[in-house]
Amino acid sequence: MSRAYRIRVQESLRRVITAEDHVSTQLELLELLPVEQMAELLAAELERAGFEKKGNTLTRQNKDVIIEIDPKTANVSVRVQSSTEVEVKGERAAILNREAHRDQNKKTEEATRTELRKDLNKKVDDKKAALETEVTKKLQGSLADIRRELDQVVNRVTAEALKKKAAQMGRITELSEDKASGSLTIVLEV
Amino acid sequence: MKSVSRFEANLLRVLQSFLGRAPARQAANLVMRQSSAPPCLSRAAVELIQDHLQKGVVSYLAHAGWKHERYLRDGRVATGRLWERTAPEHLGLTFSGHSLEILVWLMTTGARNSKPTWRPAHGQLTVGDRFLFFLALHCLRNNDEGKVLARHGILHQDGLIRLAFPDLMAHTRAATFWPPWTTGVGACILEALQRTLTNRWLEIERGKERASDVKVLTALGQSQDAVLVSFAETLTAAGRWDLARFLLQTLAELLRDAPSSNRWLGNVDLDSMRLAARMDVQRAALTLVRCASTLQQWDAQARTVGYFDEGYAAAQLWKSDWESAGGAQICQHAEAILREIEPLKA
Repeated sequence: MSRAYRIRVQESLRRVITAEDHVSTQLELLELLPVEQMAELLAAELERAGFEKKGNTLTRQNKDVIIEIDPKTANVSVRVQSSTEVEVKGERAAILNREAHRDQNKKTEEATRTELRKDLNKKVDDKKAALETEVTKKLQGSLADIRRELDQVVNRVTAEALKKKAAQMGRITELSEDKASGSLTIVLEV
Repeated sequence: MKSVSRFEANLLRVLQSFLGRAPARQAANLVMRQSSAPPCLSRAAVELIQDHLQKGVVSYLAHAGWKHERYLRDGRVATGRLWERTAPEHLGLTFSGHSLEILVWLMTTGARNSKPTWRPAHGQLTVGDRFLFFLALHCLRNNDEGKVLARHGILHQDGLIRLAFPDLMAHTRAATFWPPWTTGVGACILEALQRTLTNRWLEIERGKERASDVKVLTALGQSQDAVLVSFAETLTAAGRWDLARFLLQTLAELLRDAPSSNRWLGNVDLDSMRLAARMDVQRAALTLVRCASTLQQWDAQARTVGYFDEGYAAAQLWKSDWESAGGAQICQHAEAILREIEPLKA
């Protein structure tokens, strides 16, 4: 009769997991002025809204949410990135046989350890998937506010561009602006 | 009475199917079945093939191009049936020996191999050879044999093939070769095939309603995008916007009842995807809808062409096509659909 005994294998895994999600689109700017001038107006308006110039783009970061805008192409990219350190621990039992060859017991122990590591990796993957879902939700949640803000920026840029265009066409005799409704009336003397 | 071998008889039946004179199923049951081809075809068989091609292709194109339509000829608008817009003597098609090779190769199981033994040099193929390949793919497109045939890179660069079968060649990255189809008899064939192309694109777009595989849908969209961008550039350079009439007609039929973007996304589970991946799929699925903006740009460009400017006739013809297809409404619906998928647009 074989004499069995039980061993417990313990493992822990520590990893830094990162999740990222982003959307990108293009601002709908009317071509009222040449591209360079529109880009200048957009950049100025974005700087007023708290964006900082980094290379060719204007960037603003609010916690994990990063907004990048290229004023020349009017490309907007909103990105959320999050990373966290996770530690998972696990334990598995294996039955070994005292009368079995030492190598065979070692193999059984190794196999148990490998299985345990697989379990732990899967747990890490699950945590990563959960973090990705969280990041996507965060991005989705932030989009409504960003859209509203960018719409306002576009409206202000359009208004400024209209004023400049009008000034190029003649002498502005009357200018009334209703910020609440976003309407702008320009009376010109040509 | 001419007698031919069994192999040759089957080949002729396949050719009849390609030419639309017999059911497509017949060809699908006969192609890629023979373990080997005879070293050569009999004189009688070759004569019968020539006869089938002479009469069958003319009949096929006559059925496709019988309508009174307006297309450009040397910068002017020509009206009438296909053979009235271009004199019949200029509508002749040449079939080289490659046409016979295509047919014989198609009959053998060798055509199923991933690496075909038959690989002609690109410049050696005539418009007739290319059109025969189109007919073969068109006939077999709904069968496994069509998918096998499309897998070969033989005519992946051909403009008409890519334009008609972006779904069968979703993974090709080869640059598209357009010259045979934007000038001469090739352009006349493209005119005659406008309805066929409309039906093909409608078939593809409506097929997206049943899509469930994200990768397949994305690859199809990318394939459509590649061919549409290249086609639009070629037509602009050739001054032949009229050859894109089928796109207007397809969009008009697809967008008639102002559908939502969901129609293009089938049963794809978007909710479980990252936003970035979601947008990639949505944008790919709506490639054709996005193409409406290119057609609109053409219209805007056409409106700036004056009477004494070059390209006046082409511009007038496009404006007329645009208006009769309801271009403004197409664009309005297309913009609404595209807005639905853009998370940063109100």
